[in-house]
Amino acid sequence: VISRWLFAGLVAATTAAATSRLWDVLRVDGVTAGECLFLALVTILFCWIAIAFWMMVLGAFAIWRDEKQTALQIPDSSDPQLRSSGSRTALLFPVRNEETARLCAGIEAVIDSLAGHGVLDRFDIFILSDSNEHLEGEQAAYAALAARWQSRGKLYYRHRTSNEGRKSGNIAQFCRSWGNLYDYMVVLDADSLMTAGTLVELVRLMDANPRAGLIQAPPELVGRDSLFARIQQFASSVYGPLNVAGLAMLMGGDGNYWGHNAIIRVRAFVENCGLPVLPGRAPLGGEIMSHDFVEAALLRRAGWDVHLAGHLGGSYEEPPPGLIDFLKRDRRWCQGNLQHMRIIFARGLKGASRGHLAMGVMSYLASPLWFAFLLTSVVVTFSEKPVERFSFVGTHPVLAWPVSHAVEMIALFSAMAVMLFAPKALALLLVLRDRQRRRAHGGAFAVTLSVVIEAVFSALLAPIVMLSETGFVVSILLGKAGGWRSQQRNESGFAWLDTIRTFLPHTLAGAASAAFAWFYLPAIFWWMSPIFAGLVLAIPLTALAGSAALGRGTRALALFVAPWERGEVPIVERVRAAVGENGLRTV
Amino acid sequence: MGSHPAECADPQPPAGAAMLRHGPGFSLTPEPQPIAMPEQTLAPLTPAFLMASLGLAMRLAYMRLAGSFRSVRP
Repeated sequence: VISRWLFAGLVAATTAAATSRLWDVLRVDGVTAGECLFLALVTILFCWIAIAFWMMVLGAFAIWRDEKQTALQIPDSSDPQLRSSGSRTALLFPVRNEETARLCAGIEAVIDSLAGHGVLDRFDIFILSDSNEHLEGEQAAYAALAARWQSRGKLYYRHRTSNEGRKSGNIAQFCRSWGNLYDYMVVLDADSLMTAGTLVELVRLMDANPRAGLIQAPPELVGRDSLFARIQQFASSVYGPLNVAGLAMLMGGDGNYWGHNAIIRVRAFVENCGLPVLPGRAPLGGEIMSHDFVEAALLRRAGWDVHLAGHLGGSYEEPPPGLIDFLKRDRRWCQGNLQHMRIIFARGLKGASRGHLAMGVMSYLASPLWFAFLLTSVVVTFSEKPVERFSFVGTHPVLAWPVSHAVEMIALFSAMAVMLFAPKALALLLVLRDRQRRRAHGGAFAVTLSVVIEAVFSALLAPIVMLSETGFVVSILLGKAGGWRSQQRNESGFAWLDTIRTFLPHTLAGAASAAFAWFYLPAIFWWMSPIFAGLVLAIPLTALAGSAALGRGTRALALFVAPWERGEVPIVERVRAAVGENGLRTV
Repeated sequence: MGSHPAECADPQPPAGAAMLRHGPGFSLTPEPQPIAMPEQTLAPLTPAFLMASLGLAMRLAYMRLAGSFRSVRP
């Protein structure tokens, strides 16, 4: 595990180097209040980028050197059978108004994988339904699923008529009723999958690490066909390992919980993770929405270790099919994470847990801060003299000479660009040097071109997401609670009206700010043009990104290929075959 | 399927549950074995404690950094 002091030092040094250069430029002709604000925002944002950058660099270093990425005691692999373990494990599928056919296909794929490994009898499967729509269809589907597997395993179904406490209340109700029967529980999401090999390994890890309260198996994004989803899946496969390795090495047993695809020691959870209701009303009070971070913090507070098993594969989930669904989910996560502002300073939490909570809050505050940075930079530029890039040094008019600060500003801009794009380049290098991974991603040329296009695509989407998230944060801080609707998990059809209604404000904001910059601030127009382009093109970009046809077209060109698309992950293939048969998705 | 045909722990069984319960070998849930799940407190730290912690953390960071600089000084 890498020293967190070294990591903090690297982040602080990078941030200090960048902001001191900016300070040197700003102080030449005196510092205004606007410039102070500008400097403060640059410092915060640069620090935020530096954290992500160094995390990925550490991850790349770990993968390159083939370092052990976990602090977990890894049991002897010469005993691959779970039968040596007397532990009982429950697999939990908490669901609420999901696509039943997709859900059943996923559960059946997991059961089939367990049966194939001969370990189905070691796991009991619980479908914990909080659904309040189409209940009869849901229950008939589960009955059919049970009928197919009744002779080989245990599949239970439980329905609650109220979804008190939402997902965490659902799990807590399981724990109170049946937690006594099990040593461990594995929490899966309605669209997540885990292979038998990974489930068995997680149980073995829990057996071998008696201090472990929770082990998170990082899920890889798989299973969707739209361009937006395929790009996310590609990014998850190429860049994801660096982030996971960096995080696992940095945090050790001080890790976090991502809400699903994790194994939990039931006793530790029951004794320490009964969540209170926060005082006050929603959005910042009431039931805790993003319960996972809080549960990890409570386990750590009680002395249990929380690990990220970066070395495990076989853990999957589906991304949202399009940008609108991504933003719907983001709105929920935003509200949940901002609630954590009230928990960061709870008594007894470990410093690392406070760090996780703060990072979660910051991941959404970063958007309004970036927005404020853009506004401030416009105000500062607008209020400057026409020759703002020059200042005159010396007091005697004859001896005074102009000094350009263009070099410093371009250096700062370049440093930001390097910190944003270098991790992608490192991830690409790691794929290129590994013959198997290179082939699994479509070959050297295809993967390189895919990374370049992904970088452009994500740069164009970034301002759209920034503006949306700024709106979320403002509305939540103004006290508006959002809904908790299920995600739209299929990608057939495209909702034009929804898209236009959602992104017309972005388009207008982009067009107006571009016109303003063109006429009044030509010096910064081209610097800010990627942001204007993303906003102005928000509607067509969303339409193109949500297209399954375009997703399939890019796959035919070998772009954004992820290993699962080459049939290398049977459990995903099984679900896609089953769902395709039901006509829920264009495959 | 499961060997303990049992009532759903929910006091109001859902519509359709009866059909499932009488299905071939299908049990809704195992026999419940209730245990308590105590509610945790998330009371915030007091401001004085916060300030003291911040001061201590800054002092530790300073000592650590100063120590690092000393260790690399020729």
